[in-house]
Order: sequence, then structure tokens, then C-alpha cells
Amino acid sequence: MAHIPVHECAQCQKKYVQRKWVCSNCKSTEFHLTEVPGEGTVFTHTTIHVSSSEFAHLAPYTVALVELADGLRVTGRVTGKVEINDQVTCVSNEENLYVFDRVEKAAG
Amino acid sequence: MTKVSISGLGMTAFGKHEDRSLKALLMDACVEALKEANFPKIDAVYIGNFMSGSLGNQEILGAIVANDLGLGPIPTVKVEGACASGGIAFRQAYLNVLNGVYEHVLVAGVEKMKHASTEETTRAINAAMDNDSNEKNAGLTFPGFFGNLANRYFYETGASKKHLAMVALKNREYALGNPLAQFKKPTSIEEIMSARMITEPLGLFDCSPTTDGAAAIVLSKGENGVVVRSSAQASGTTQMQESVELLSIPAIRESANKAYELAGLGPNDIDVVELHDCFSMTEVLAIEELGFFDKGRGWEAVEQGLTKHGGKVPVNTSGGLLSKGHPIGATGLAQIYQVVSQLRGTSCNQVDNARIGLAQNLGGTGAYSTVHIFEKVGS
Repeated sequence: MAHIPVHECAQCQKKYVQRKWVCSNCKSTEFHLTEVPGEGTVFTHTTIHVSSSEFAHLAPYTVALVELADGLRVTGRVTGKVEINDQVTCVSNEENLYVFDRVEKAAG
Repeated sequence: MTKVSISGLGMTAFGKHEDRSLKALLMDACVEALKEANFPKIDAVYIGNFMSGSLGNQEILGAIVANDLGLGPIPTVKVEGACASGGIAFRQAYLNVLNGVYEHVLVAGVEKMKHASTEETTRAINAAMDNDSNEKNAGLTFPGFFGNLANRYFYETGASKKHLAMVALKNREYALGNPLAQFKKPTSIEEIMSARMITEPLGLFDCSPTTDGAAAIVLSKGENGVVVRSSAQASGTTQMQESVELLSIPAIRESANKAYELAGLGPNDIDVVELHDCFSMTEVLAIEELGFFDKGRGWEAVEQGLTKHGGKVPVNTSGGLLSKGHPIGATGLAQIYQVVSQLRGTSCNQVDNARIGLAQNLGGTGAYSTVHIFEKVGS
């Protein structure tokens, strides 16, 4: 499992998945880089059939909004099809692209 | 207090204009609006446009308009706010007349998109998202954002693809009555439901098309015909993953509440609406955020026919972006063209005795929204 880097406000601890310059909550300008486990559930998703020239060769592919611990959400690409509430885990985090796999539920 | 009136309207047909350049479309709409206003001395020009640079390698549209229409050495500017470029340009023009800076202003919007491939256009439209982010790298497209929204909306409310199809069908039926609309071929729920998928659950008919076209408006100081009752604008999220309430588009709500407050009016006062149906899903969210229906209940209103003639409020009587067409920079002004025509009593799909109308224009993933409220003065 790959971790998700998170920018945490040094003053109020609000977490952001992308860099911010001023904290929207407390106006602090200082952030610490930390990380959270790349495990979560699918909040929503879409399978894209028509894309831009950069991504057209991947189509159809699925992009999901994944809810991590603390309600933090991150957008990533998902291998295969998913449904809302499916559990997913981040399997790679390279060049600012998160890829998630669906966690197969154990039988029984 | 200063009143600001609409003194001229112009609009080209929307669709594919193979033989007319971006400039020709823009000029045709401008001349029509100026003629109707009886060629007043224009003090400034505002242009709404999103992709003349990326798809056409053409900027300086403001100066070109002033030059080719012989308007003299007046100030001009092009305004960019993705699909809300036209609405924002209109607002800037309005504020400057309201505040006494100018007496007559020409505001116009234009886009030429049909010459480019779908991949090229999709890439250019993706500029309406924050591309310095992991979302872009995941391959999230602009339609994909609204596909994500739709799946969550279905999950939370019980709505289904059929309700989105009803929105698309309504707007197509309105477009059949609009001579300037891009799509004039009748369709059916079955055809809409079985059309090829663009981004699940949104199919071809759920997505606004690429379009060539232009619209123009002359705004003048004074109280004559149709006046602008209020203008509001709000900003919102530029990334899906940062949206706190994904099923709200807070910028729509903020801009609507501010516009209602400034006008001293509420949703129940509105007789006719043009709103930003870039996707069928967006229309369902917008009728909720504009206060016409409760949150999470917009799909039921669509099902009950409350957004058509004879319902609570007719929505997108022009055919909307879905069927009238969506030349991005022109859209906000084409919406106002339709609302003003309704209030003048000269519109296609005329709503009887319409006196107060609202136009809502959205840009990006809820990144920009403008709301304008108009009223017919006199009898």
C-alpha cells in the first residue's frame, strides 16, 4: 500500500491533499508535509469513454473520488470497475498520480 | 439610483459555421445588437471568450471589435472565466454603467470550436480545471467531474439516468422551436438512454455539444424596455477532491442568494429561467441551488414536468446549452438574449406574461457562477 502525502496546517492541523499557500481555516501560511494511509472507500466514480488526446489511449478508464481517514478525499485512477462504498487501496503514487485497486472482500 | 437597460440584442445561429471565421461571427452578432440599439456612441467593449487562443490562435478580440466596427479609441477587454466568460463580461459591463463610468457599453461573446477534433477540444476545455494537481494526472476530464457528481446524486437521492434523459428531452423539445438552435431533430427518451457513453452515467445527449456562435448585447444607462435588476458573481471549488459538499455547487447558491438579495426578490418571483445545463446533471443541481426546488428533490420536479411551460418555472426555453448549443464564451450572453426576449414578449417558446427572468452562467467545476435578474418595465 502506498501512502498519500498530505499538507497539514501547522497551526490548526487542517489537512489538504494538494499544496495550499494560506490555510482557508485559520490563515496560517505554514504547513507540514505528512502522510495518511492510502486506504479508503469510493465516494463516487465515473468511467470515462471519451477523453483528451493525452488520455484517450487509456479509455475506458475509471476515475474515483476516494474518501480516506478523517473524511479527507482524493481523486485517483482505479483499476477495473468499482461501486460507491467499495473499499480501495492505493497501489501506486508516482508523479502525482494515485492508482487504487479494489480490495476483494474475504469469502464467508 | 442609476438604472441599466438592455438596448440591443444580437445573436448568430448556433451550430457549425464552416465558412465563417470567429471574427465574422463576432462582428455579425455585434452589428445586429448595435443596429437594434440605433448605434449609440459606445464607451467600452467587453468580450467573453474562452478558447480563441488555444483553438484559433487569435486574441485581442476587444481591439478587433473596436477597430472593425469603427468604435474609436475606446477601452476594450476580453474576459475569461471558462464557460462563465460571457456572464462575467456582462457583469463587468453592467457594473461600469451602473457606477456611472460609461453610458453605453457593447458586450459580446464568441467561440469557434467545430473545426477542432474532440480530443483537441476536450484538452482545451480541461483548462477549466486546476491542472497543477493529481486530478489532472488521474485523467479526470471536465465531463468526468459531472459524471462523478451524477453517480453520487443517484446514490443519495434515488434519481436515475432516466431523469437526466427527461432534462435532455425537455431541452431538445424547446430547441425545436428555436430557429437559432444547433439541434432541431426530435428525439425520444429511448434514443437518449441508449446513446453512446461519454463518461458514465452521462451519454451523448447528457453532454452539451461543441458549437460555433456568437451573441452580443448593448447595455445603456436609463430605464427602457428591460432593465437589469441585479448582478452577482461567486467563486467555488477548482478541484473535485476539495468540494466539501459534492452535490452542491456552492457558487451557484452564493451568486443566486446575492442576486435575489440585491433585487429584493426570491425564487417565487421568477417567471422564466435560463440556467447552465452544460450537462443534464448540472440542470438538476442548478434548479435546486437557485432555490426553485428543495435540495435532493430537483429530479422529482423534472419528472413532474415542473420545469416546463405550465409547471413552476420554465427552464431553458431556448433549448439550453444541451440543444441550443454551447459556444463557450457566447453562452452567458445567449442566455441573457433569451431571457430578455422572453420579457419583451418576442421569444421562441414564449412564456405568457413573463415580467421577471433570471440567467445563471457557470464556469469550470463550479469555479465561477454569475446570476443576473431582469425585469420588464412599463406595460
